[in-house]
Amino acid sequence: MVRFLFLNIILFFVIDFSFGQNTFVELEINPKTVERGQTISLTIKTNADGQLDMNLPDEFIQSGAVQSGMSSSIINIGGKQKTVRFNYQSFTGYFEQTGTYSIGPVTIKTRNGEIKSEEQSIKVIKRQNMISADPGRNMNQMIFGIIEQSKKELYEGEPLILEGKVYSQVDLLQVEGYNSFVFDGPSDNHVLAIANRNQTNSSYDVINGKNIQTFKIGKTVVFPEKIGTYNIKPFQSVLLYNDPRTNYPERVKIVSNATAVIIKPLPEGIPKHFIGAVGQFNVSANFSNTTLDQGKVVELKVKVTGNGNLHNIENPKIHLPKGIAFYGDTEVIDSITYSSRGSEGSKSFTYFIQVNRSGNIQINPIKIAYFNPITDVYENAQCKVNALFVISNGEVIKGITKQLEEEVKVPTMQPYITDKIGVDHSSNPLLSGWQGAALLFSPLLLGLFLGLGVRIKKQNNENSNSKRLSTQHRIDALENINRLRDQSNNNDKLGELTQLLIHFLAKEFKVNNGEITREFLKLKVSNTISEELFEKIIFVFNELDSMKYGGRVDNSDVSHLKDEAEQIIKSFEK
Amino acid sequence: MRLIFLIIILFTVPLIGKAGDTLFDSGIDDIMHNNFIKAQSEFLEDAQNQPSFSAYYNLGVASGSIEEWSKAKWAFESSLKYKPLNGDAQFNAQFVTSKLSENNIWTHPYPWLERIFLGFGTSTWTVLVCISALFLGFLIFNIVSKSKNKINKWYLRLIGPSIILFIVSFYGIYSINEHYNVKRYGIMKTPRTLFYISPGGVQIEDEIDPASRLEIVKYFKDRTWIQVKLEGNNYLWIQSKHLYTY
Repeated sequence: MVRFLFLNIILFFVIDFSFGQNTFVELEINPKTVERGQTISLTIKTNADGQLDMNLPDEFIQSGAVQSGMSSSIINIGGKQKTVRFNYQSFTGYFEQTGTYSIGPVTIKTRNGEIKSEEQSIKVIKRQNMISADPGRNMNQMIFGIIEQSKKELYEGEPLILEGKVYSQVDLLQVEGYNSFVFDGPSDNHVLAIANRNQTNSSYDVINGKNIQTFKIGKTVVFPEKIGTYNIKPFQSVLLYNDPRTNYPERVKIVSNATAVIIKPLPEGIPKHFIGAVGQFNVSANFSNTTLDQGKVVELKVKVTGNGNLHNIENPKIHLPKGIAFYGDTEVIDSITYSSRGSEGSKSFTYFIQVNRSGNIQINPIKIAYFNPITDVYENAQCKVNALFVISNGEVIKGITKQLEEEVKVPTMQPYITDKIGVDHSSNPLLSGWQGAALLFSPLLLGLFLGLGVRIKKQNNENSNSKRLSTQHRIDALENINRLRDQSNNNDKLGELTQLLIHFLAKEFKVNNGEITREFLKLKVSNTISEELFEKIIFVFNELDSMKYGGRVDNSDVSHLKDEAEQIIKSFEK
Repeated sequence: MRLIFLIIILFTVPLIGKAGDTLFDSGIDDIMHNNFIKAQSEFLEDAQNQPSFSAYYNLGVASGSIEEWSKAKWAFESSLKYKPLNGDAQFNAQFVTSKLSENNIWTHPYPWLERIFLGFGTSTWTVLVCISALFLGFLIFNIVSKSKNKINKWYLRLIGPSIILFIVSFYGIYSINEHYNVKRYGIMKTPRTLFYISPGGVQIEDEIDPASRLEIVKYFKDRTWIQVKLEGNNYLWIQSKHLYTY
């Protein structure tokens, strides 16, 4: 069941307190990654009046009272500094179960409407096991301090957690001063965010059968920078306690023990894609745009998330295929918090890539390798990046960068492709072998044979026409001879008969009328006409001539000549 | 009935296509997770089921990643069969050849004329050969069917270019069919592959460059022996099981 915390506050502050300011409400949580039982501080800031609601998880255990007050901060708006006044409420609490919890949003119902803050999330991790010297050996002291550390030996780059713990056999009243322990070597130190530096939670431990009041102070994450053995110098603290002998408060300065830590080098066999990370990490990557024009620049955002020494990791190495190159420097954006797991959050690397060739481009998966101190082995993480589709502009742009030169020095294969292209569609049996050749030549052969058929048909038609014409003139000649029988004048008959015969022979031999002579006919003997027919023709012509020019025209009967002429014409039909 | 048939077609056809793609996608997943041996077998199976540029290319990448250079060379050069102008495949073939032998200078397996014909693609040549054959048939018909003085002069002018177009596109179809259906080259599976003067005969002792591309001349005895032509026109025999062919 979700528990709603109702904080009804009536604000009795200055009347025009928020005059001229936009109303706002903010929720601040510090720190955002905590161990189980570790105190977190929640602060609500607002300049609005009204009923305040806030959503808190059931697992949240509030500790201490709600503090409220008024404050102001200076913000920079458009180059001008402006003071913002606000009210705040602050309270602390903790979680006893690991997990990720959502806190908020904070809602304020005002007369002008409702305003909301952003929702925050908090990660609760299990407690860090700490190693320390045996406190039982210091029981001869009334109050003493011991440095606790997460490990005695750790790998280069691995975070070291240090914390001071104070043991007291008397009632402690106040911590008046504190000087932290010092790592005696090159290191990068981060004091872990605590809810309230002036507030410590004390508890009781049983040591040697005796209840001892204890509290922890100055938790720090240290990233040693070099291998070797290093001392951790003691912390000092000034404490106010209730002296049981005098029953008056007294001051005491305590100096804790010193300790040491061994920083080991990373094991051999550093992988190719190692980015100097020690801890547990993951990687994700995506292009800002997957469809672009050739020659344009696209952003590749590679995000490394995890915990360990995240703040010190190097850029993941990316090998680009031919035709695309890095353009300018890589942009790095951190979102890191420090906790007992070291630095955690994410680190984003934005690579600017100029694409100089068109088509589908698939870059290799982004790989990182890191050393996991829990498993004591190098581990890999990788992610796939979507393919780029580059629209050609028909140009070849030469983009030479330093990274490209490095690429040339260490040649590798071009990466795999994700699209299935170049599928074999060539096996068309219709177009292979002699059948295919026959099919392809068929229109040519069809054209040839059809053309020949049409040509032959035309020739046959022409032949039959000429044959018909040749028989026609014979029929005409016979009809004309028959018509001669009706004429009474012999002279005309002989003249026409002569003309008829000459005309017929000229048509038959396909020559002019004037060419029909006795010599011409003689030449046709044996080739075209028989000797008998030749003599018959000559006989008819002689008879006609003798009748016409021998004075026998009127007294003669020419009918036998017509018969002879008919027989000559008919003899050509055979 | 017609509806049931339609539903069956609609459901089965995509599934058939999906089966091949699944194998390919599975290979991609394996190659992403550096499981190159599994990826290799999946891409090989995919290439055998449905030969494609991508399947052979990725097979080459997977084989190269586990330093099986001979197989990678064969795979990359096989991929060039399907996309002979692809720059990445040429680069990778050159790269793996240099891994096999530093002295061997890689050359493209297919001559430039063949690459041009392949570049146009089967569809282009098929369309061109059909159009030119029909047009040529029409011209032949008109020229043959008419007497000399009645032939349109344009028919005579166009017949020359049509014949050239028909011959070129016919050769295009022929060369593409030959390209895809005939295995012309072989790559030795290992540098220790044995060569013989005749099938099962005298073994030669000369060392053959492992990056050599062997030209297949002929087969013998149910294709268990292959005669190959080496550089310098040496004809030798090799057992087909020791040769990657494409």
